[in-house]
Amino acid sequence: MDSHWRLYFHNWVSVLGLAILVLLALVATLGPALAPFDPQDIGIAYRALPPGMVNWMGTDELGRDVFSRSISGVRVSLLVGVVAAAASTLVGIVVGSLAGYFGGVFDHILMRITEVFQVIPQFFLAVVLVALFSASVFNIIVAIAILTWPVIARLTRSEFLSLKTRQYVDAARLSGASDARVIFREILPNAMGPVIVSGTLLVGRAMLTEAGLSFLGLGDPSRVSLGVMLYQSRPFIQFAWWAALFPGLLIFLAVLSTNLVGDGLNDVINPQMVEER
Amino acid sequence: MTEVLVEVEDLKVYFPVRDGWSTKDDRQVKAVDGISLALRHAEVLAVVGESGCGKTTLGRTVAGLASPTSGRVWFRGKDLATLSSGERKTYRRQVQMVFQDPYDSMNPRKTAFQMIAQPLTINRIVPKTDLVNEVLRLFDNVGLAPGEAYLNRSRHQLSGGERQRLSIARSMSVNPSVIVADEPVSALDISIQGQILSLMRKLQEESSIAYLFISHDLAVVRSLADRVMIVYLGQIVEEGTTDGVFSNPRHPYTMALLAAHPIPDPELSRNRHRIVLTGDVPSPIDPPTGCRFHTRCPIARPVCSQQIPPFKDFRNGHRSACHFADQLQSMARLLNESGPASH
Repeated sequence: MDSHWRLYFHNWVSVLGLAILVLLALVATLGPALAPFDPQDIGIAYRALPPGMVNWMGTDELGRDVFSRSISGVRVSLLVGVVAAAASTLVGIVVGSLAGYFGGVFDHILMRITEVFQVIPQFFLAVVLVALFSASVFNIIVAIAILTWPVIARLTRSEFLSLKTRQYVDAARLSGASDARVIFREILPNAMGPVIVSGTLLVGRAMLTEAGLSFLGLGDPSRVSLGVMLYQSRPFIQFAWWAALFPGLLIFLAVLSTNLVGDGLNDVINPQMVEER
Repeated sequence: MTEVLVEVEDLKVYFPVRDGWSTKDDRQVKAVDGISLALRHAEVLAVVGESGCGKTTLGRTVAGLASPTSGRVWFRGKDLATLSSGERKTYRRQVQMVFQDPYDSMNPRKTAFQMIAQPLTINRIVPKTDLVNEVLRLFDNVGLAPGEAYLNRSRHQLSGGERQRLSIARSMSVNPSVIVADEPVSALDISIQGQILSLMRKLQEESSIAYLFISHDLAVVRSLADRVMIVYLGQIVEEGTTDGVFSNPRHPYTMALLAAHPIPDPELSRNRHRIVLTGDVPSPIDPPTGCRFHTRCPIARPVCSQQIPPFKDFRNGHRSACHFADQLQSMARLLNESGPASH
């Protein structure tokens, strides 16, 4: 396995993705300590200043510092992305494991439920959920997790379907292992590879969904997120383009870096695909 | 008569062609279709047949890994279907399995130590403090020496032979009375096969374990088995002592299998009555009527496709399900003298 991890660092694109992600994560954790101004501080006298020595990314239509706001935006975006992806991965693993392992009618019921979630237009469902239950960061996370868990569930299920027929699973049963032990000790560790890759890709997807919701005015009004910044600066883009450009660029970087990391992890998990390239 | 450990009566194991709720296709794969057997204490019973004849399913059912569609399996006189959960645990321990593919039978994320320690801890065979010593003893028992060198290896750090030794150690760890060995040497190099077979023979003599030995390799079977069962399309076609079946086969299918197997003596090889099989095994979804072998049998007569042949008994429990079991030798001779047929 150690040699496999070296594969990750062989690909400079994955390394670049990881570097960007680490940088963004640092910004998100250090957060307010890095910001030169209070992100919510309005100053009528400083409205729509272009990027300069004081306001590195300029100020928006209310005179708020775009750089300081972007820092808290990255924080909210990463929080939403990571927590939503983690929650959806967890739910997906539980549903997928049970369906794949026990099979039969149980599998059918779980998979039909999964399909119901998959056939509903996803973004529409998110809009409805957030609109119904008020736009808070927590509700946005829940809505995104509800949208994305079926992907992980189907993936986990298919891994289980193939792994449960392995002879080492039979051998564990003959050793007296209970169903729980077979699921957690024998099958799940071997199924985790592709699931983690998909989970990582979900982080980017969740950040995009959050940005999309915010852009439609369904963002958490009490938190500064990158999507909220885009939404608020849109009417003024002609004379204060910087207020929209920088948060947009950061969304792009954040999603790009998680996707690159996901691809890199995929190479680690499926090394033979790298060799075929 | 020694104690009967496992008894199987009219076992049928069918698998649905389509799973799920669909009712469009209710065909079934008849993997095992009415097999009875008795495995006695310290006996080696071989199950021989082509791939797809149901021998693996039979083994898995005896080991409790597949459930019978109908028929019964008894262990030491107790019906498996009526076991309490406690008794089922004991049964699990008593009947172990060695798998065909030693690579696939090891979890890629486990070390050799973890693999052997798992059954020991689950079944509380030894106290925790003795765990390492017991694992080392089991390693030593299957010829993995020095044992310390193997403790932390995972499956890709072991050779095929070492993996199968480890598999055997795992099955031995819970002191079973029966081991189902499903083609335990067919995935191994020929030079390693002999080592593993002599290990299995040694362990069997030391611990008087009974083997249900599943194989398609007649040479292997001959060297190890006390009794042989020849299986075709989920049914027994011939059974008897190893000597009886090999020296005096009473079923054309057995003769064909023996003929397909090279004999090192050219004189003998030239003069034996050859039956050459053509074609593939028919589908177990829709097996042929009458005698299931009639579609490939070189001596088939009209009766063969109409009537299911009953078993005919010969000496020492040797029996065969062929309409012409008595006249087989002369019929085969005639067939041979009429010259090589199509090839």
